[in-house]
Amino acid sequence: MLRYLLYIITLYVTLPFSGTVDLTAIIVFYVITTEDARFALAFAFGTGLLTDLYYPTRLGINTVVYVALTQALLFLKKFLVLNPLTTVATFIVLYLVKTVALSLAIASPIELTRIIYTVLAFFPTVSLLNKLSHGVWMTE
Amino acid sequence: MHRQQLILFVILFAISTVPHFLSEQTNLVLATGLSSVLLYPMRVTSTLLEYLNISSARIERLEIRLSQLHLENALLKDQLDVDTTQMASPQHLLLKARVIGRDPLNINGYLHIDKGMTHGVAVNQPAIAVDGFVGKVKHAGPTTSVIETFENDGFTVSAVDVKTGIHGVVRKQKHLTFLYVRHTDTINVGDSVITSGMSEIFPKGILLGTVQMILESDDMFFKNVYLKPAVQINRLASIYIIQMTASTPGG
Repeated sequence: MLRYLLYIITLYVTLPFSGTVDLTAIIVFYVITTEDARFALAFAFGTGLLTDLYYPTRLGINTVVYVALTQALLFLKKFLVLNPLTTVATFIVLYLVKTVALSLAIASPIELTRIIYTVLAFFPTVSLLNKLSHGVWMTE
Repeated sequence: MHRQQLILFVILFAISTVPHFLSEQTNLVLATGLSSVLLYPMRVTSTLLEYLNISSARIERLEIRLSQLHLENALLKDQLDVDTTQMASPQHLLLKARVIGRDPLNINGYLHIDKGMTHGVAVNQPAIAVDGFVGKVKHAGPTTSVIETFENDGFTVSAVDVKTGIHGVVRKQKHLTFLYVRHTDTINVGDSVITSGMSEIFPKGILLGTVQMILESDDMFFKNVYLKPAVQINRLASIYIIQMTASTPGG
């Protein structure tokens, strides 16, 4: 329960910076890979809604993309052996899909620098979340 | 478990798609309502940060205004022929002194005043005028003293920009210069620069001058910031020596 609260607080703290580095996407990905599927879906929905409200483009667009990708990852999770390499690779693929989908939906250019920053921030953020929620920097 | 997850997904996905079928006006009302609830923590935080920022700038302005009023009060008393030879404030004792001479080789660099050790004047006591900073006591004789003003080449005092809080050092080189302002620092023409208080000699809050010109320099780290002095030394007829009272912090 405390972990769920931690995710929500982290989400609120990182949301203002997500215009530059998409930390919310990293948090959602982390929640999907480590937490219960129902919570992950609800969390992804909440994150999408908050993003829609904080960075208004078209209401519901982030919510749709986040929920759909979360369900896709929950499905794929069964077939993946999650080690650091596959985790990073899966995140990059899903993040690119999310970025392209959003870009097409709202007809906005793809920000390459944001993608690069987000990919670079992935590992430190996940390690920090691991430390905060599970007390270890890295899980097997 | 899998079935529950699927049902939840369908419900959330359906809810997510609802706004796409609503009119723009309805979406706007919906977003406004949801924002006021879901983004409440952020609104509170940003309001608080803004308030703290405004308050800190306001306190700084009021401190300056207070020291200006102290001096203005002294001048007005002087004009009313009240004896202002010694005036007490909670933190400082202001001793009024008349300028009785100037160094002929450095006309604005040194001032001779009609007060000395018998009046409590001591070396390194700060000197101010109604408009702001003047300098410090360089030499104290029995009945007269010499003031080294900021116009003397190499005179240095630690300072801070009131508006931006940038700390640096004000030094008389060719011009009165605010040193150690980095290229990345934002500083504007017209900003007030005051003493920072990071010194055992000068108390905080004495107006040194305003930023007159900012030039990018060849220096790798710092830019050139030139000040317009608050006080015109060549027009001074009287000054005030600040004598710290025992209760003065850092004094």
